[in-house]
Amino acid sequence: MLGFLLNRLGSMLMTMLVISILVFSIAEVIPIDPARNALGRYATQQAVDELREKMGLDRPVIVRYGTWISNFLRGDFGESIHYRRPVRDLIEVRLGRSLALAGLGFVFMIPLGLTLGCIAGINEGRLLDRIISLTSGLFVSLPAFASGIFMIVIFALWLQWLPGASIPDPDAGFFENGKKLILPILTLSLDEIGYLARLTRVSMAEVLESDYVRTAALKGIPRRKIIWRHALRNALIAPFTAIMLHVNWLIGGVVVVEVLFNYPGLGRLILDGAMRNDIIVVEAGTLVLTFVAVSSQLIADIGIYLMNPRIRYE
Amino acid sequence: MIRQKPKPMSKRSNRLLSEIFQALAASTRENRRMSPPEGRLRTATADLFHSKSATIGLTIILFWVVVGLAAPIVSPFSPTEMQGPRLGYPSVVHWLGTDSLGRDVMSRLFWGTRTVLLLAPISVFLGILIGAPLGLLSGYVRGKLDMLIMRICDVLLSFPTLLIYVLIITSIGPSAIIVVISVAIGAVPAITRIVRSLTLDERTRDYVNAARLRGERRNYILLLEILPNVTGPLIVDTCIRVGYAIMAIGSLGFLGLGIPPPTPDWGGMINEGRAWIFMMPWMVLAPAAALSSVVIGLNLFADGMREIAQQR
Repeated sequence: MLGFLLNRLGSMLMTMLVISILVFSIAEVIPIDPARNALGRYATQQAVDELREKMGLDRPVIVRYGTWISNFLRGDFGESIHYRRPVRDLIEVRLGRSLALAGLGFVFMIPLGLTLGCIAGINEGRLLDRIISLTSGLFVSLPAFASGIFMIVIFALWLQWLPGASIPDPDAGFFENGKKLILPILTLSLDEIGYLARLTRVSMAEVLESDYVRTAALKGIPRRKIIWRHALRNALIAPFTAIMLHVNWLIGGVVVVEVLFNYPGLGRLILDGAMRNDIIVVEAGTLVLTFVAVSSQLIADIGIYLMNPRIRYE
Repeated sequence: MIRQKPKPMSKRSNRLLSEIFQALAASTRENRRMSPPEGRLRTATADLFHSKSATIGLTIILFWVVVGLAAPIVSPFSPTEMQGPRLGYPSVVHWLGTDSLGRDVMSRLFWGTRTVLLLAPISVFLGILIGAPLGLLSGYVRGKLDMLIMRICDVLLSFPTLLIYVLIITSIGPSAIIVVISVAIGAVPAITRIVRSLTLDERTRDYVNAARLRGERRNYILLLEILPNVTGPLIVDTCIRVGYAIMAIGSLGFLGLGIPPPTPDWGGMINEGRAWIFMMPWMVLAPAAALSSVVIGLNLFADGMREIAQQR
């Protein structure tokens, strides 16, 4: 267990290192001078040069990468050019909101996707299976921005049940703000539900055809008991692995959903930063979001390890 | 290849020889499998129409291909020039109304088909061009190279794809080529992995051993022996991947990072029309539905092909 943990931690650190270099070098390529950007077009060249020196932009790349990453590790993310505030404060607030969105999405999508998939897998080939397969195939094919548009048009414009934008209001009550999150969560979960259901269906159908299930059936154990006691646990391993590795996909969905519903989360912060050439925000936000993705994969690996002791990592 | 003089037959070399013959026989069998005789194409199409989902999927895709090809004929107006009032309601002249710049939405929708149906396959093709050789090499050679390539793939796969796009496009600036390249880069690690796992399955087959014993070079074995035998699953995967690419290009357009205006692009149309969704929902509904239907078509087609492959 310890060796496995160290191995996964090591590869996680490697990933973060490589990605930090990648993010830094991409920011390096941008033909925009951050000092010029901060001071505006009409600043004198002298003022720009002074700021460049103050920001340390005249030093060699490796030194700058070193200071950037060590500052980052100490929790100093720099200051946003656009907001003129420490990036860390911005990210803390925004990350909380994004995590709330993604977390609620997870809570909604995992049970639903797994249940639908199991029902379809147990009834393979029957009408119920066909209906679930067709729906989940449809869900998988809808990109988040399109399904979000459909949801807004149906639930906000046509039926007028739910608000179409999700700007949280600090004065409004918990219930009022929660209502605003329903459509974003639905949009976010839709294709994941489809994806999970399809995976679980295949996995369940495979397990039900395996030798040990047949043996159990031949021993005379009732089918209901076989499914609950024997098949379920093994059938859920594959989809569980997949959903955790799908966190990256989910992050993309979170960005799109945040933009579509005007929800001020981390994804929108990064995107707005990118639009305004606020490089420091983009760098820090990307790194934080990647850290979330990579550490969720680590948690997933540990979870899979605990769930299935047969898997031994070399 | 150096041919050795025949040695006096011992029992052992006899066994070796028979093994070689068996492998060679297997190789010709497999080769016949991969280079189809004439009737095979016909049975393949017949199979295709037996599968309901493949037929429906293909119909949807072909519909949009025809719309894309016939865009200059079927669109009533120019997609990039002002044709009527700004934000006009649907009318007999403008079936889907006009957008905020007075352009005909229907014409933009038709012309947008070209953008999507051109850029998505190109970017996937580009991704395969990079990913397939890497995957073949990685799966066939194994060892340190394999480990290195897989580690790099792991790193890239653990990085949220959309952020890769955002980073590349903001650092270089949005253009059709940059969109294609970044979508291709986003697809490479997954393609490499799939080709590698397919290669791992194939490399122990008899026909590969036979080619190796015949003394073929590595690149010959990879490109002319293994590659033709993994194309089936690869084509299914490509269909799904083109769907992903369409979604990605759409998402980028939606986020304002896609093909720069005035080129008609479904994602961009949704982005532009989003502000008026409560007043004129058709402006965004039409491109959203069009884009979804293309992806649905591709996925149905891929599902159908997988069914057919399993039945064989």
